[in-house]
Amino acid sequence: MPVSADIIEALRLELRRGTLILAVLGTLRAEKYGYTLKTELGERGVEIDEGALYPMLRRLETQGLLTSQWREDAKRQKRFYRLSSDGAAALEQLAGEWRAMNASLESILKRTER
Amino acid sequence: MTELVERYLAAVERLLPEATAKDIVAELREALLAKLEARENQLGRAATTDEIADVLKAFGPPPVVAARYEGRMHLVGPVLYPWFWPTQRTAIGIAVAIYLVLAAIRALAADNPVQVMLQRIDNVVGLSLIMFAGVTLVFVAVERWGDPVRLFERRWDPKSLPDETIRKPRSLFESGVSLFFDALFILVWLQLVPFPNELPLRDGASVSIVLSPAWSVVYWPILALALLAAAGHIHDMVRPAWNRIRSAMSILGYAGGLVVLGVLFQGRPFVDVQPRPGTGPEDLERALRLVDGVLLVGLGLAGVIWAIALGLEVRRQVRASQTSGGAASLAA
Repeated sequence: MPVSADIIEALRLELRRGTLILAVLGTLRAEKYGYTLKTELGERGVEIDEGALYPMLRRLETQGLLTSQWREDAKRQKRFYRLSSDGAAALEQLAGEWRAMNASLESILKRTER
Repeated sequence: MTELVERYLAAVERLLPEATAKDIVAELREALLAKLEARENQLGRAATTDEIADVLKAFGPPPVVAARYEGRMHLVGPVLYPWFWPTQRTAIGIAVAIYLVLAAIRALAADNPVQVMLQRIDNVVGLSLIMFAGVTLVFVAVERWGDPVRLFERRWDPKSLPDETIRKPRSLFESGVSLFFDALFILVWLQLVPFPNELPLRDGASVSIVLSPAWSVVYWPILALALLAAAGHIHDMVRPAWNRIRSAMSILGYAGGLVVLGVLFQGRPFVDVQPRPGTGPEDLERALRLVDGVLLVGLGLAGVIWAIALGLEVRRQVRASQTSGGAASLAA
């Protein structure tokens, strides 16, 4: 019996959830506001909808990983985010974790494909 | 263009916590306007109301958008949830059992016991709902202000897990019904609830049945055993799985019951019969034989069942000792 599209979609979302945080933290090494952040992530192949992105930015700021500042840009008030020093340390640690996990998964997946 | 957006944002704002609502809405406004601006650049003209509505629809319904900012999305979280329904069942079961016992006492004292009992049973649904609400509030409070993970991690000990291979856990219904009858027996035994002792015979004759003097010797032991049985059934409601303390209570109960039966069998007949007006000596003799015979069979059967149950319970204790002994030798 083929796996239903709903199950695949749920698993895909679960798989992406943790990696999105890493992608957001990585992109915010340079200051950006919400819309440009979403656009840049999209251009790099990481699609994220606003409904998930903005609450995530807020949560990461509450956790001290991001800092934000309201500023006028192109005649509109915008909130600019960037990585805090704690965020940079967390990103380094998480990136190491990701690389190790990725290597392990690659080896597991290669073995399964044989 | 912004009128519809502002209505949308106002709907989101109403659902957000007051302290952060303004800030979140300001950011959402900026995000929506940027999105609409990009759409208009793509179209090369101002967006129509329908196109703005499409952008808002893609952003999500206000309750969904607001909910994403709410950190806690559940009343009772995954750590506490496994305890939620068992606790509800136990709390409601105990409350209903106590209520039914009290209702039965009042009903037996009334002129029309069945009607009074039925009226009282009506309140069981209300009582259950109140208990449900109370237990839910306690869980919500622990979830919100307590630290459920630490609470259970600290107290949890794998060595305290019940060995369910020794005996199937008792159901709440089974324990509740047993407790109900325990309570009724205790009340009758204490003569707080009258028990009809008139036995009707043929041709309108009848006799009064009274317990023989042998029963007075075991009056207090019987009361103690009944209280022990009730305590055991309350224990089963809280901890339905087998454990050594509950088993010891059962062993004591069965052994005590057999001793009491021994005393009663030695002091036969079990009852005395007293004549009522119009009852002849033959009727008396027949009534005595009948009641004594019924009690002989009934108590005899009880003795056999208790002896078997006593043996089984002792065997469970032995098995439990062997299991823990095995575990100890493995650990060593």
